[in-house]
Amino acid sequence: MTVLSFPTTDRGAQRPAIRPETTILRLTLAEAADWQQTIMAECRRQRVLTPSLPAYLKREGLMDRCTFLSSTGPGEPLCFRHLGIPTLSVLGRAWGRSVLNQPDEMDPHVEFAHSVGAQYAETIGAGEAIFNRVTVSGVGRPFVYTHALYGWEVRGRRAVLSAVDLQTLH
Amino acid sequence: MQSETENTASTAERKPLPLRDALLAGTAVTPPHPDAEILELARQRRAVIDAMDVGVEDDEVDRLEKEWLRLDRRIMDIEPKTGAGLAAQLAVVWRGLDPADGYEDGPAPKSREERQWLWKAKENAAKLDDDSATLDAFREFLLAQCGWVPAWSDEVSGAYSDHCDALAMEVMAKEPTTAAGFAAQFYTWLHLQHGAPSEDDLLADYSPSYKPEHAHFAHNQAERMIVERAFRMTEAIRGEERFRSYLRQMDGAALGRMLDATADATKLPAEPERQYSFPDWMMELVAEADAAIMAEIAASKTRNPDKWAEQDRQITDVWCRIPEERKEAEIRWLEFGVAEDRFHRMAMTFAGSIGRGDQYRRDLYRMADKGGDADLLDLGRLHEDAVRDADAVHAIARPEAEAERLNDRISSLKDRIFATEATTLAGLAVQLAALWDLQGPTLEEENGPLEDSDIGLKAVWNIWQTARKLSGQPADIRPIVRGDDDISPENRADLQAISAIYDQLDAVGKASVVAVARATIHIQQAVSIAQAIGAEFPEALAGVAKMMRADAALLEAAANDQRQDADAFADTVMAFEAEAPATLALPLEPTGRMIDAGAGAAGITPEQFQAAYAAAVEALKLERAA
Repeated sequence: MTVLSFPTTDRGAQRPAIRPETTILRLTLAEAADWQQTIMAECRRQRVLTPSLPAYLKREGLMDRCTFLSSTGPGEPLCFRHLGIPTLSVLGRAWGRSVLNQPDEMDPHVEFAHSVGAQYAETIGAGEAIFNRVTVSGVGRPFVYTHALYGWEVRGRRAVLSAVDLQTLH
Repeated sequence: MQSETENTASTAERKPLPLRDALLAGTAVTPPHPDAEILELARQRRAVIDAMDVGVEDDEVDRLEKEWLRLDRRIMDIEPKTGAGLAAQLAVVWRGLDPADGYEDGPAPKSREERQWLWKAKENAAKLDDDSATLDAFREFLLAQCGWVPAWSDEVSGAYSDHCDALAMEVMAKEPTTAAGFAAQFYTWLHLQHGAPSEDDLLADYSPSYKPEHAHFAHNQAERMIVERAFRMTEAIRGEERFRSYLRQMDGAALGRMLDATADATKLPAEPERQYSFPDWMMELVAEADAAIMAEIAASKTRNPDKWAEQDRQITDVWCRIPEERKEAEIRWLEFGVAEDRFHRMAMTFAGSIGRGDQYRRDLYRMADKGGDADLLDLGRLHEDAVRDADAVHAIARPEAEAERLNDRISSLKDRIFATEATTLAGLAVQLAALWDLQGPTLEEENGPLEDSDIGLKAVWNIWQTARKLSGQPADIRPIVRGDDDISPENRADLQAISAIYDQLDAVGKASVVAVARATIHIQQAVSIAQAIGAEFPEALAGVAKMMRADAALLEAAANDQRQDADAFADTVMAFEAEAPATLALPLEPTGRMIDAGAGAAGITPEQFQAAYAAAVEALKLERAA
């Protein structure tokens, strides 16, 4: 299922020369999948970030579809805390293990991380749900996914929940 | 030279602690001037010159001239940071150039043009620092920001935001004439651009809170660099003691706002027994206040030993009469009181001046665990007396005018009682007593409702009596349900609910503010139930309920804020983290090798294994969800 190869052991391997390209298209939440809308509605309802959110996601069996990032303080980077299955499907478990509790900018796919990072910053800043279709090429096999994002900021600490729906894997 | 400079700045010429002045006088003080050293030397120089002008003995003249020269050299040695410092140096140059024309108060009318220019330059230098219009506006704006509490409520927070923005626009409207003024405007502009800094930022550091989220946002980095440089340009705003110097120059109302913001930030202990704590910097202030007051007491003792001896004698006298078992508590109170009392009174006044007095008081009572509502209890006593007087007047049929006067007094006391926010159960009991009186009990009902009294009347009586009981006063709680015969089944459920509320009130226990909050919520429930069953409650009860709701909402918000602040965020992150390894370890679909190995080991076909695996995954999901 992993679409990326990590040429760490294969010294002969060369990274492909293709530059990763990320296209992010802003859509309305109405276009999101039902379960993405459900999660965003729950985030809105709860408003503040408390353990009742992960509890809710577990109860509804939606935890697997969500990626969660948080920072430990103002100016600190967002770090992956939980990776959803869709994210892992695209980027692989090995990637998952390597980035867990690492800043999102440490993601080896820097370009990709930055484009998505800007979306995270926006949802945290706005404190409101946003929904995008993301088309990525140049990171492994090209793929398209949608993510519904909800962000929080509590005294400088930031967090983002990303409900990812993988649409195509070319 | 370096060590001499430090020494000068730190000891001999240092003025008394500004904070001490502020505490003792309650007035505004200024922060240390960036050119304090030059200005102090200039003052000494001026004193030497004045002494020489008066005329002294020859050998004294010698000594003074040497001193003058020494001071001139030291003044010229220091690099001035402000116009005032530069002006002091120009004054040295002024006098040095041409002693014959050297009047300290200006050039002689016929002096050369260059002399006139030099004087003018000196005067202009002194004026350079004056950007007080911009900085004063900026100070107001910063202080308003300190008062901003994110978790207060959307409505209040929104209004406060608007208030901050209005003050920000005041700053932007000024024409800055100094780097400090410019920095202030830049900071303010950043506020308008990026929103208010977080409270942590305000307390720790006045730098803007926004941080470039991503290194590639060059304009964010640039903004930050510019504002930091701008701040660095001015010692008045930037520096090690920046925050404290702001605190020191604040007037009373401003300090109140600071206290208030802090009180909000640290509002409600999650559990009643949990220690209420001010942040460290607050404790430092208290400690400093303590030292300052102690110093004042010592000075006063030296000035007026007789008075103090007499006081000592009286205190000893009183002390001997206090029962042994109470002495320890008294000592503790005295230790706390010396530092706290003045500080508290000051803070109280300030908090009151911004309309948050009750909140501050509530916080303090929570901290000190002492009963509040003194005002309300006083009003209660006055109300009781007035009611008694009025009854007596009616009984002996005094003139109409007298009865009317007393009735007016009673209603005005009632208004004040309902307008004061109760913070203890005793205070609440006073309000409920007034409410009981408003219910208009008949003569037979005056000492409590009868079996067949109106349900609303019974409810108010019992709520009142419960509040009395919980605040340690004698109480008389009546059975609320008459008997099963007269009660319809649906009403019985409601009445049982009311009874349950009394039980809960009972269980709340000690008269802590948290308990009051809970009690108010319960009483509010009682009110709504009574309304639901059609009992007629007067408007006053609705008013009390509204106030209680506000109180309860406030305390609840505070509790939420506390929870949010302390744990919720970290707890949530942990909850997500706890899930991460599981998600990582579980492939939703088996890999080819897994299928082969699994099917081979179990002696089944790959399809059967895949079906089995899918079932296992579903089961695991259910298990985790449980």
